Order: sequence, then C-alpha cells, then structure tokens
Amino acid sequence: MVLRGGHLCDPVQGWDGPADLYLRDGRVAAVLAPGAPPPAGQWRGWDASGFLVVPGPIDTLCACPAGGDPWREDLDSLSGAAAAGGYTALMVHTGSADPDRIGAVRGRAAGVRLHPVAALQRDGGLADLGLLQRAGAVAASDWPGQPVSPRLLRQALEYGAGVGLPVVAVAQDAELAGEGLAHEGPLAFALGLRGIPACAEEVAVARAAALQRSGGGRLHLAALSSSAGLEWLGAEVTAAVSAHHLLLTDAALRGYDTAAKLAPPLRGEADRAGLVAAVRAGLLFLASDHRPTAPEEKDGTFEAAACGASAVETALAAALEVLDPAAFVRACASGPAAAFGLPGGTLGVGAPADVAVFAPRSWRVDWAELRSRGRCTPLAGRRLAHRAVLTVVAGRVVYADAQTAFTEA
Amino acid sequence: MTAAVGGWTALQHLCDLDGWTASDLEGLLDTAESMAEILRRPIPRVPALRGRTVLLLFYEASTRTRHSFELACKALGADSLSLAAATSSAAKGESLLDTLRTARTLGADAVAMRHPDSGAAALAAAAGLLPVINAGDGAHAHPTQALADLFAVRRRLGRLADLRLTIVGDVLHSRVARSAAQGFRACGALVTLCGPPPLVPPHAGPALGARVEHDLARAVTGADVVMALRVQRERQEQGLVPGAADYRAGWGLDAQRLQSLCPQALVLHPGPVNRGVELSPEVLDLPQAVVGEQVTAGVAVRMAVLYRILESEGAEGA
Amino acid sequence: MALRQKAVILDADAMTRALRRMSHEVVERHGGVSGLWLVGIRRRGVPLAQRLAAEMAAFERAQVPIGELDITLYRDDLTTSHERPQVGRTQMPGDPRGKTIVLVDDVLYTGRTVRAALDALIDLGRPKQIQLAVLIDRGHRELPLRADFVGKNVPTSRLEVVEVRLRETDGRDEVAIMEQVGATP
Repeated sequence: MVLRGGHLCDPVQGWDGPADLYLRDGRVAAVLAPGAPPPAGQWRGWDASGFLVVPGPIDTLCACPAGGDPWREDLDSLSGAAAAGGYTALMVHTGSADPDRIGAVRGRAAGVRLHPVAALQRDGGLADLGLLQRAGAVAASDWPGQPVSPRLLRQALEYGAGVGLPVVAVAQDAELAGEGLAHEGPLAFALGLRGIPACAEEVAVARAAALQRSGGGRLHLAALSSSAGLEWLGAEVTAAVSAHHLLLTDAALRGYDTAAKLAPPLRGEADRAGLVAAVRAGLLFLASDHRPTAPEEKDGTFEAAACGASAVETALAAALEVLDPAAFVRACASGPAAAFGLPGGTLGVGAPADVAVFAPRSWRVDWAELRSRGRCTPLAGRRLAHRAVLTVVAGRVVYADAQTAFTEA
Repeated sequence: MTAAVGGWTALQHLCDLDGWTASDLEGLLDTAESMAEILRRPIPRVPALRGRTVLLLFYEASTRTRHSFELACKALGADSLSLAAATSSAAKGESLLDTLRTARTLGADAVAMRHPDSGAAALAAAAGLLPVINAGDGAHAHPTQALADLFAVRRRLGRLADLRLTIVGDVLHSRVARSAAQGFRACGALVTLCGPPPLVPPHAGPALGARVEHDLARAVTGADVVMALRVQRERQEQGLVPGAADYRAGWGLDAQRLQSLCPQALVLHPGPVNRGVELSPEVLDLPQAVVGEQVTAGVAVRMAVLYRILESEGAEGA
Repeated sequence: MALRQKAVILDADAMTRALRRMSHEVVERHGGVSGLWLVGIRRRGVPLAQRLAAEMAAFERAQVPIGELDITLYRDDLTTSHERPQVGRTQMPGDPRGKTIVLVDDVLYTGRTVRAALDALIDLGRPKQIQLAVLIDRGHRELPLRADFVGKNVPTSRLEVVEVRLRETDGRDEVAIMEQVGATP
C-alpha cells in the first residue's frame, strides 16, 4: 500500500514534510517525494494529504486487563480501543511473574502489538527475570501495586542488566503518599481530601535514580505527575507522563469527579506546564496510563473510587493538543522503541510498517462512545483537535475511521 | 445549592456553605431566631412540617448532631427516621445511593446525613433522589454546625461583619473549621488559622481564604472570637503532633492565656472537649465561653434549614 | 396576573371611625380592659392592634398589653400559596393563661389564617377566652368561624382581592378592592 502526500514526521530520519510512504510485506519499502514515480509493482493508494503520518506509537504504560466478564476490558477490547486511538503497540503491564502468562500475552494475536511487561518480584524476592525475558517480557515492573523496597529494586536493576531486561518502577514513595487521595494543595485542602505531597514522587525518583547510578541497569519511571524529579532523568533513567497530566490539573477534581482520580494524582498548573516543557524537550515519554475501571468502582464517593481511567483512545489525540509533531513522535514512538529495544519507532526503509495517521478533525470526547469497556475518562466533554483515522500494524490496516473517506489514488 | 423560585430563594440541598452570601446567611439566622422563640415555649412544637419525614442517615457515630436534628424535626412536627450504619444494610455493603432510593420509597422527604468520606453529601445531592442536608462529610464540611456558631456569635456580639475569628487546632482534619471559615468569611469576618504546621499547612490559607499564623499569641491577640478545635489522639499516633503536653505548651488555651491575650474574645468549641489538651478545664466556665448556648443554637438553625428545604420542596409545581 | 384597582371602600377617616367604634365595642363587651390583651396577626394585624390599644388608652386611661403572632409555621396552605413569607417572630406580653385575648387581623376571608392563629395562640398557653376583631370581613368562609368585631362587611367576588393599606406598612390608610385584569369570571 502507499500513503500519498501526508505530512510524514520521523525525527530519526530527519523527515518533517509531505511524502509518499510505500509499505510492502510488513515493512517500509520506500519513502519518496510526493508524486515521484512509484517503485516497481502494484500499489493500492490512500490519499493522506492534509493528514499527519507518524511511526507507530508505542504505549509504555497500559494495564493488562483481567477480562472474565463480558463487560470488563479484555485484550481484544483493549487492542481495538488502542488501534482506534492510533497506537500500534502496547507495553502491557501484566503484574505476573509467570513465564507462561508472559508467553501467552506475547503470542496473543491481536490488532496491535502486545509487549508484555512482567512483575519484577515474586513472593517478596526477585522474579525469574531471565526466564521472563526469554518468554517475551520487554521489561520488569512493580506497577501496578506497591513499590518494592530499595534493596529489591537495586537487585532487579543489576540482574536485569545481565539478562537485558529494563526495570519499570512506580515513581511514588508509598509511605509519604500514605492514604492520600489528591494532590496536596489548596484544592484538596478545601475539599477535605487527604493530600499526596509532590515530594512522595521526588523522593522515589531520586532514590531509584541513585540505585541505578550505583548498580547500573536500565531504569524507567512509569508515570510522573510532578516536575520536581526531572533533574534525575538521563540516558539510563527515563520516565513517562500521561496525556491526562499534560492537559489537566487538580482543578478537574472540583465536584469530586471520580473520573479524575488517577495515580499518580493530577497536580497543579506549575507541574503541568513543567511536564509539557519536559516532553517538548525530549526528556519524557508519553504513556497512556490506561487503567480501565468498572462503573461500580467509580460511582461511589471519591474516597472509595478506584484510581485510573480509560486512556488508549484519547492519549495520542490529547498529546497533540500540546506537542508539535516532532516532539510527539519522540515521546510516543522513537523514544520508547529505543529505550526498550522494541521494533518500530521510525519509518526508515526496512523498518516495520507500523504507521498511525491523524486528521486535523475536531471531536468531542464522549465516554459513551469509547471502545474501551472502562468508559471512564476525565477528558469527557472536552474537544480535541486531532483524531486518529488510520492505524497500520505490520502493513495491515487495524483501524480505519469510517467517517474519513480515503480515496484510493 | 440554591435556586430562585418566585423571588424566594429556595434551598434544595445544604452540602456546604460554598456560594452563600452574607444576606443568605443572615436571612437563615433570622429564621433561626424565630425557631429559637418556639424552643423557649412550654410546649416547643409547631405543626409546620407535619406529615413530613426526615431520614437521619449516620454512617459515623454522632450522638449530639443526631439528637439535635431529632429535636429540630420534633419541634417542627416532622417525623424523623434514624438509620445508623451499624444497624442498617449500609454495613452489609448497600451503597449510599441504594439506601437513599429505599428511603424515598419508604416515604422520606429529605435526608440529613453524616458520612466519613469527603464529598459524600455532594454525591447524594447530585443523585437527585432527596433533598440532602450535610451533617458532616469527612473532613469537608459541617454546615449546620457552622450556622450554629454564627447564630451563637451573632446573638452575643450583635453582628458578624468585620469580626476577627481565630480557629486554633487541627484545621487539617476538621470539617467544622472549613465550614466555619467559609461561613464567617462570607459574613465579612476576618479568619485566622492557627496550630502546628502539620495541622495548619501553608496552603490552608489560600484554600479557606484565611490568614495562617502559627504563633498562638499573635493569632489570638485582638480576636473577637476564638474557636478551639478538638485534637484527636490518633493525630499523635500519626506523628502529626508529638504529644498532648507538647501541643498544650504551644497551642493549648487556658484562662490565663485568654485573659492576657484576648480578654474580650468569645470562646467556641465544636465538640466534646479533651479537657486539658486544647482547652484547660476552667476556660469552659469563663463568661465568654459559648459552649452551652451552642446546643440550643444547633437545634434552632437545624429547624431553620429543615423548614427552608422542606417548605420549598413541597411548593414545587404548586 | 395584573391587578387593577376597582374601588376604595374605606378612606383614612372612615378607617379611624371604624377602629374607634370597634375599640368601644371590645371594651363594652369585656366590661373594661383588665385582663384584656390585643394580639395582632403579623403583619398588618399588629399595627391595627396598636391603633385599637391607642383608642382604648384615650378613653380608658389604661394601656392594654399588645402581642404579635406569627402564624407562618401554622399555615396549612403553604404548598398552595404563591407568596413565601419569611418566618417572623412571635412576641407575647407574658403568660396568656387566664387572659381574654382579642386576635386582630386586617381581612377575614376563608378563615384559614384565623384557624392557624388559634392553633399558634393555644400552643403558647391556654387563654380564658379568645375573640376575633377584623377590619374587613369579605365573606367566602371555608371554616366555621366568625368575627366578634368587624370594621366593615364587604361583599366581594372570589376573583377580587381586598388590599388593606396602613400608614405603618404602606404609607397611607385606605382599603381598596382590586380586580384581576383579563380574568374570566
């Protein structure tokens, strides 16, 4: 297939302009100037002029759905929702230290690529990181759940380095966060919600970074909410931020909106602006932090509500509200691919044919229209300027927007 | 929380004092004055809300507030139906909204509720099942207690505008402090918050539109009203304050301190006193202590709130 | 619904004469003013009670105690009433037990206000006797009640409104009949 005339953005190759993108046998066959004579062979053409064409976005943080009941998220609904949001790959945090489970997620045929992330601990000790890596895990993580002890985190980093497994850590000190519910600040105080101080994150980031510095290994912090710990990041210590934290502040909690109860919590405007600047500067990756919830988990009081929201369908479009195309691709495609050694991240010739296309089409987020079975988003009612219209994984179309008439050219 | 109906501001719910103006509050206190007159009668009872039923839904133990609502219902001729969490199906996991649905089916016309979670009253009000009166939700709000304090202070001092109120103690965990700060500020008072920094953090000031002053002497000097909040033992266990003796040394109020720093100031205390911790025992016997009057004031303002809510409720569609 | 003034049925002089006559009737019936209270039903009954007391003071040389009764919390027509009056205060000159109380109001119509006032009064203690004085009786009773002292009987239609205006509350003394504009009879 060929995507003609779209705005192709690929910082790895230095491309940021109109191009014809040729895909064949699951790989990029050629990238030519618009209208240049096609390579030999038959091409089915899609007119992408006016659209943004990027290397397939990879989500670094996404909960592995438990499934079970038909109304709960499972890997199929997750995959469908992610494809509709423009993702071509998901790092699925399984919370499992069982190599068979990792292998099952890895081998699962779904629309988008599923990269399983294993639990880094088992029974209070180190999980079998080598076996998990061989089973297909792309990282080991203490997310979701309580962060592990500094000693165990150090062991995981050191041992992970030996078996080629990066470590993903929760960036929140459990003791400092306590039973907090919201960003510690004037709003939480006025609402009578226990606060989570920003230092709970800063301490966790600094401690994890110090452990990495002393023992080596690859460290990634799952999701930041504050700009306080940014100084600790570097080549071997990466971190991500969710699109929710780039667009929203704790003001979303007014009226005790449980959809805005997230972990880590939404913070103030200074933190939000600092995080946006850090993504623009290439310091942070973008994560969806997709954690779907059942309705009964969100319909009680703010205190009783579960943390999390459905995000794979909105995260990329939301990020495009505040990022230019180059920063966007670095944050959600080339950066994560390089950090975790994953296929994709670029559309150079020979790279996997994982592509997402975004149209400048304004839409209103409506929880009732979400494909995710979580159906809860703090962005509900908000208008976003971009929308994913075509998602291609290994040369196969996994999502095409019904409203966008792709003329075959 | 309010909506104008035919030029009369009808009260639909009372979750907090957010958005209340001085004239809203003074008007409600005027109604409460009429209610206080009824309470002084030999038979303190009028038929204003005859045939109405008020559900008293308490997910947290409270004898005083619940009794105060019961007396208020009785004085207005309404029936009250008490549901304590321990004896209701709430303990068996029935959700708050399910309980309200059941109560409405059983004929309740309004609910006065106390819940350990902040925002529970707003959640119940948003469901639109019954008019909701917040009798305390987590650390968020306790509006009827604040109204009782406003009532008692207006009685003693004759005004609320330009008063200086100092709230001393565990502001962080106190719904009483939040509602009092909101109510007194709306009436034109200047509010100062005082206590150990872990219990009165810097953002408490902007959050409640108040001044934060950690030094007790500076905070209460010149105050017209001093509110001493209860300090619960568990704060000590949480490490927020080192111990009762240490707290008393810094922020305890005794007669000598009050006499020398603010001899004119009224002293309010919203709950059962930990004698010897936040207040020394003799303070309660000082002429400026308003502890006793707060009980009558509590019933009168709750009557006023019940009357305003149920009277407008019945008028809908008439 | 707009109201238009149809006729003034009592001017200031006529009102003064009516009140003077009523005050004499009350004293005559009671045989003096000892043990007598005048209790006005808020709002316009209160200034009327004061005027009656002033008349009595002029010819009896004694001040009759005056009370104020707010009946908002006793009304049974709150849910059908369009006006939502603020709850006012009730003030009595003392213990009503053993007293003869003359309730004073401006207009007697359905009788529901007086019924509420009787309940309110009796809740304050048991008087020896209760009588009723009204400036205007316009008929259309819905309860078995009658006034003991009446300033003027005025036949009215249910579509009309009787407005009593007093110096103390309205700036001048007069009673007018208002009719609804555009109402179908």
